[in-house]
Amino acid sequence: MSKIDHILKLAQLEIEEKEKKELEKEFSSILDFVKKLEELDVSKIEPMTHPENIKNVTREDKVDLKSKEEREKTREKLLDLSSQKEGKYIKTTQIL
Amino acid sequence: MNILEIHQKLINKEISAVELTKKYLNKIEEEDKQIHSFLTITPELALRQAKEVQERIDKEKDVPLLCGVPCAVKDNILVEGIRCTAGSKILENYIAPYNATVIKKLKKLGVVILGKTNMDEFAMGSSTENSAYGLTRNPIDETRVPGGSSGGSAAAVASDFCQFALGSDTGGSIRQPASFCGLVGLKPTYGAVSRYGLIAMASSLDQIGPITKTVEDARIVFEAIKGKDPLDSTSVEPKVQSSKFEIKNLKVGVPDEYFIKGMEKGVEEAIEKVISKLKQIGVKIKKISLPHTEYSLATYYLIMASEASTNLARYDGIRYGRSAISHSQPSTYDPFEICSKTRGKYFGKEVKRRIVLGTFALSAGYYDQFYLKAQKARTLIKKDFEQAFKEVDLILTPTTPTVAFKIGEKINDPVKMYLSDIFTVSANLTGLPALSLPCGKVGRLPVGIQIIGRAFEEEKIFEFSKAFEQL
Repeated sequence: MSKIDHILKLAQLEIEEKEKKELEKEFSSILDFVKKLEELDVSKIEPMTHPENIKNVTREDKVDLKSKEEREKTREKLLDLSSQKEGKYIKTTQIL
Repeated sequence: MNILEIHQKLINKEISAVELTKKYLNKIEEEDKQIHSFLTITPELALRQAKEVQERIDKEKDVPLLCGVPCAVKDNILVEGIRCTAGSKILENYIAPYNATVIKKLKKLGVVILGKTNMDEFAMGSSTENSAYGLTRNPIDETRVPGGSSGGSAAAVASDFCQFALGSDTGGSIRQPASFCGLVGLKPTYGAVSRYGLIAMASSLDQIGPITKTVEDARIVFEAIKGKDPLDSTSVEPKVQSSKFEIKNLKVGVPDEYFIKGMEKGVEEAIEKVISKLKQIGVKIKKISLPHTEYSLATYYLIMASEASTNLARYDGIRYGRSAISHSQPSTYDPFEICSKTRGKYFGKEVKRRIVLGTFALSAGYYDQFYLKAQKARTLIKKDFEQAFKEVDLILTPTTPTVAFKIGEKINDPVKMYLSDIFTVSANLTGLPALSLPCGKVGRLPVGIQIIGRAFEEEKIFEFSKAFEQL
């Protein structure tokens, strides 16, 4: 499998051959651009993931909505956004 | 007009909230066909809010400053019951099921929401040309872009379609369009404003902020939307800072590395003119160095693309958003095929480019060389700023290397487009607050100057910028 095909598979993007060729070319110029970092020696540097030091924030494990009706209303709203639903569930095709 | 003047008119009953709202809605109706700053106009919501607001004004003694003030909201911020597309076809049918925290706060204060503004798809772009719903024009020169990705928000404020607008800024998406449209734009400190209800692009970089006509307006809106939110665990309650200082006691740094080759002559001249004026009123200007500046854009693109590729994994054609598969008939596709076909069909070109870059940078065998390396480079960039802020209180730079460019000029060359963000990305990588404000013109096109402060020192930026407006 070519490099671009491998990435497209990982990214779950199915595109046509013509678009793929274009993307491959652009990807290569973007890659050249970010390879600028190869000049840097970072062997003694710690990586950072966030601007500030963040820590885990936890709360009690309970549903945070007032009433049963409100919970159901929220669930309905979210279910309505799915492509297909059945009862209280989002429906999709068989996986196995 | 500024927010305070609108407030006075409303409480003095010179105009009612409904009349004011109608005035803005009519203007949008008549003039936005040409500019295309809005994707969705919300007259029903706006007029309902305006009626409620008027009752408040009639009854209550002290209504908030923002009560009855009409605003526009970038279309990646959720307003309950209103379509929210993030400029993408994949969310064409998505109706926001809840309010973003910033919207909840603004609604409580009585802000009237006129509509949702155009943007580059998923906030990926610097010109608003990447919107799946067509481009937005710069109201100052309609052959030019308004900047991006919050280009619709900036164009709406510059066209007087609203008093202020909300944008989001991941690498300059508030400041660059504000600069291109002659407005004030603030990217708050990371964590100062809740991101709950903002459609995520790069979670360690994204912040919501205001685009306004004046510094004071930006401050009023920032004060209204900031604060810790239990629904965004990276949000924090900033310590109250004293803003008492004399402008002439401030030390302001100007980094050598931000005056680069390829910068437009007129932009450089406008910035230098301002710096000499500042010296005249006694501000101490100090040359500083941010040595890793040349690596900031590559670092930014790797981190942003990596985070975006994971954030956008949620668009699977099943749970919400559009699906490439018709669900009315039994399908032979498995869910992975549904997902791949949907994403291939409904994501735009720039979104695909960034997903591909991010997926690659995070993939086995390349993670250390690209993503981890970028995270380490980010540390170096942050250290540059920490060092600089030991010597100075604020840092001044141009917001962008050029004024607003022509429509079509950069859209076919992604790397050229990325260079528009060269001066703005560092504030996102470091989390520092940064504001762009107008400081001159090249012809009739505005030039913006960027003021970067220490974390959570927005107040200092505002005070300094206000003195600046008087220059």
